[in-house]
Order: sequence, then structure tokens, then C-alpha cells
Amino acid sequence: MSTWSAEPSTAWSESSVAARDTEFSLFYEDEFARLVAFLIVQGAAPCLAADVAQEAMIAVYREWDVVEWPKTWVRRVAQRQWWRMRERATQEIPYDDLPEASGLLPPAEAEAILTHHEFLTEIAALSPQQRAVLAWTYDGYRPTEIAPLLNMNPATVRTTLRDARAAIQSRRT
Amino acid sequence: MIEYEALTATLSARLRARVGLAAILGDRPPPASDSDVEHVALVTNLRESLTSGLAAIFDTHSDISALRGSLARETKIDRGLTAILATAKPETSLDEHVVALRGAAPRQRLELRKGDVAYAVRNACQMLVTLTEVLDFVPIGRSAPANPLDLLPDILTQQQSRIADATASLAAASGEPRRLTAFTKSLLEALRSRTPPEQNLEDAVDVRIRAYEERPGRETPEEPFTLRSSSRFSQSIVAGAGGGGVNFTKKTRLPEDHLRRASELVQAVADEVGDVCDELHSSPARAPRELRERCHVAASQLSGTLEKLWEALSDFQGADLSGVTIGLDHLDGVRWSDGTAPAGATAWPSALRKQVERHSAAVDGMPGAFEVRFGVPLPAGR
Repeated sequence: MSTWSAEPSTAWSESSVAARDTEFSLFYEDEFARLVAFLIVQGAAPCLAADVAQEAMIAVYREWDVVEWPKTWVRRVAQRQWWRMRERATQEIPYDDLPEASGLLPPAEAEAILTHHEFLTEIAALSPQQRAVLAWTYDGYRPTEIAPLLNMNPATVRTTLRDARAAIQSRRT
Repeated sequence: MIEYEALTATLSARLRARVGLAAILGDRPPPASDSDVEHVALVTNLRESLTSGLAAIFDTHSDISALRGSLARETKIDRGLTAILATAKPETSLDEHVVALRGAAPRQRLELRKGDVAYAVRNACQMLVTLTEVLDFVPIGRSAPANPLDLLPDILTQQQSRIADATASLAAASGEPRRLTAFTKSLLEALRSRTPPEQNLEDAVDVRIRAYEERPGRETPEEPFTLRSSSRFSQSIVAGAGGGGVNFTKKTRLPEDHLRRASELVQAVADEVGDVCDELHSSPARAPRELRERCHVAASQLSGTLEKLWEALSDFQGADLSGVTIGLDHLDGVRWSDGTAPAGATAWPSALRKQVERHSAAVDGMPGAFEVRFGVPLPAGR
């Protein structure tokens, strides 16, 4: 590992560090693209979504030894970061003042993604709450699991999900 | 869902060359911070609290017969509840109870909807009931039923009558609400893993613990205390009236607290019924078609009843709420109205009005009606 570590570096042997990094790499490979998609469905521009996802991955790497449910944890961190950015954009900071994307996903490729995947246009008209519920659902979470994650009532999650699906369906017909 | 998987595949292909562990190790990460780190500590605390609370209720290392002893105490509670229910008017229909609830004072109904306080208590109750009923599901000394799904229609019908009982308690505004069981939960567990009851017991405990752990950090210092309170509450139930616990055979005058608890329990059963429906949808091969249809009918009827009940608790169109002291997070799902609605405008406290407007969405087909959807703020200028 490099010059820093999440927890007392002296307590780690080189082999355990390698095992830890391998474990994290597998998680990263499985989850990174899904995490970006998770944020895009919630309304983040693809370039920004890639950056936020990367920051969340850095955060979870730092806490890898103590986080027991990293899949949920990293989504919560990413979602919260995206909500903060969105709030800042709508309340305080002019859009032009937001930090520029780092280039993980170049603008041309981001544009191509938006053009190629028409369902993103279909969900664009949904409310932020409906999009958040959809994003968690797409990643395999059930209404009873989503409810506490979004501070919602489980029955409201079901209603929101049903409304979102109906709205998407009505746009298609 | 298919589109989402396609999007993920596209992103995966385009990002693979640019990101990875090397990209992370190349940068020094941001300074340690954040409430998420605190959340880990909170979760650890919760786990310890719940585990110790559980140990106080049941000796998890004891054998099954000791647990049966605890069940015997539960039976006393059932007798007490039956006595309470005997005071309800059996001829009153469920719809009339819902109407009565609609007529309750707005302030009282708002109180019923508060979820945070009741959350831990509700889960503690469910944990207890799940534990006991997992054991009841496969009685000791008898073999497991060939197909547990055979029991499902009866269970759902049973739940329907329990909802009616709970609603009666809500409308009566006094006395202990009937304890709603989480039988469907234990059934689901049994369906998913055809394992011995001892194993189901462990699973049930694990499910309850995970329910706390995967809850997001609310970052409220009171949380651990709430949990400890729920443990004490659970113990008081198990202890029964003779053991210094709650005396269920005597009516008490704490209507708001009891009503709120009943309201939360109704929601809990709604969740479980929803889970049963989901399970039936996702496992077409597990049961014969006719049985599945019966289950669906029973579950749909129950869901409909619950939705009517929840609507009665959530409709504040035209109500005067100007004097209430409540936070936005307790208003999720509340329906309100502005001056253009037939019911007139809902009056909010001035400090709350802008927040409510900002976190609400218009209700389709109901001019002037809005619903609070807290959790994801809507964009400014909606």
C-alpha cells in the first residue's frame, strides 16, 4: 500500500494489506459502474456521477476494515454527497461555480450515454424522491429496506414506486 | 430494470480503463471526517444494545424448553388482550372505525403518525413475536408441514381480523391496542429456508439485528437510549402483569401513546403483507395456482383495508395545524391543501410552512392538494 492507511498501519502485515486491497478491488469492480448508474438515475450528470462515485469509493476504501455492509454504505455516502451538491447548486452557488468534472468520463462520452439510453429521458420527469426509490430498487433493495435509507415510511416507498412505474409506463404508451 | 442493467454495462465498459484501485491509491484521500464514520460507531453501539437486550429477554444459549417457558408467559398476555377486546363493540364495522378516526382531532392524528419514537418499540415487539411464533410454527415433537404455503391463506385471514381489532382500539381512543403479530414474517423465513426451528430462531434474531444495522445513521444521540427503552418495554411484556410488567387486563388512560403504537403496528403488518405479495410474485413455482390466487385475494383485501386506514391518518386538507409543534420528518405522507382546494387551505405554523411547501408534491387529480414527501427535497422553484 502507499504511504497512508485506514487504520494503524503498523498492525498490518504486507500480506494482509494485499489481501485487503484484493478484496476491495473485487468490490470496486463489481460496484463502481453500478454506483455511477445509481447516481445518474437520481439525476446526476454522468460526468459528475463518476466523480461522486469515485469519492465515495475512496471513502469506503478508507473505512474498509470497519464497514460491514459496504454496498449500502457506499451508496449512502454517494447519495448524500450528490444531494449536498444539488442543494448547493439550487440554493447558493451559481452553476458555473461548481467544480469542474475531473475527466473520469469525458463530456462527449457522457453525452453519448444520455443519448443511447432512452429510459433516462423517461425518468427525467419523475420527482427526485421517485428517482431515488427507483435507483435503490434497481440495485436490488426491497421497499422495507429502502424506507429507513430514505427516511420514508415503507408504505410510502411502495406508493412512490408504483407511481414512478406508472409514470414511466404512461410515457411509453 | 433491463435498461438499468444496460446502462451499467455501458458505464462499466467506458470507465474500466480510467478507474480502479490504482486511481484511488494514487491520491491521498480526503481527511478523516464525516458522520458516516460516526455511524459505524453508532451501529456497533446499537448491535451491542440489542444483543444485550435480547439476552435479557431470552437466554439465547438455553435450550428450546426454556424458551417455551417464556411462551407460557406470553399466553397470559393473550388472555389479557382478549379481555380488553371483549370491551369493544363487535357489531361496529371496520369502515365505521375508520370514519371515527377521520373525525379525531388533527393534533391527535398528527401525534399518531410520529414514527421515530414508536420505531424501536415496534421492532422490539416484532422481534419478540417473531421469536415466539417461529417456535410455534413448527411445534416441538411434531414434524413440519409438507408445504408451509398451505397455511398462508388462513394466516392472512387471521391478520385481517387482527387489523379490525387494532382499528377498534384506535377508534376507541383508550385501552391497550391488540398486539398484532408478525406471523407472516416468520412464515416467510420458513419458506425461504426449510430449516429446523432452532435455525429459524437464529435467522429471526439475525434479521432483527440487521434491520437496525442497515438503518442509516440518523445522527441523533437519543437513538441508543430509545433502543434501551425498547428493550425495557420488551422485558415488561415478557414479565407480564404478575412479574412487574404491564397489566394488560386493566384499562389505562394513555390514549395517545397507545394509539400511536397501534398505528405503527398496523403499518408493520402492512409491510409484512407487502412482503408476502412480493414473495408470491417472485416464486411462481412454489405453490399451486389456485392457492396463489387465494393468497393474492386475501393479501389484496388486507392491503386495501390498511391503505384506507393510513389515508384516514394522513388527510389534513383544510385542517388548522397552526398551533402544532412537530418537525418536518414526522409529516412524510401527510396530505394538505392550499386555498384553491374545496376543503380550504391547511393552516401551518409560520416556521413550518415554507419547509412543507418545499418538500411537497401535487396530488394527481386533486386540485389544490399536496403530499409531503420528505427525504428527497424537491428542486427550488418547483
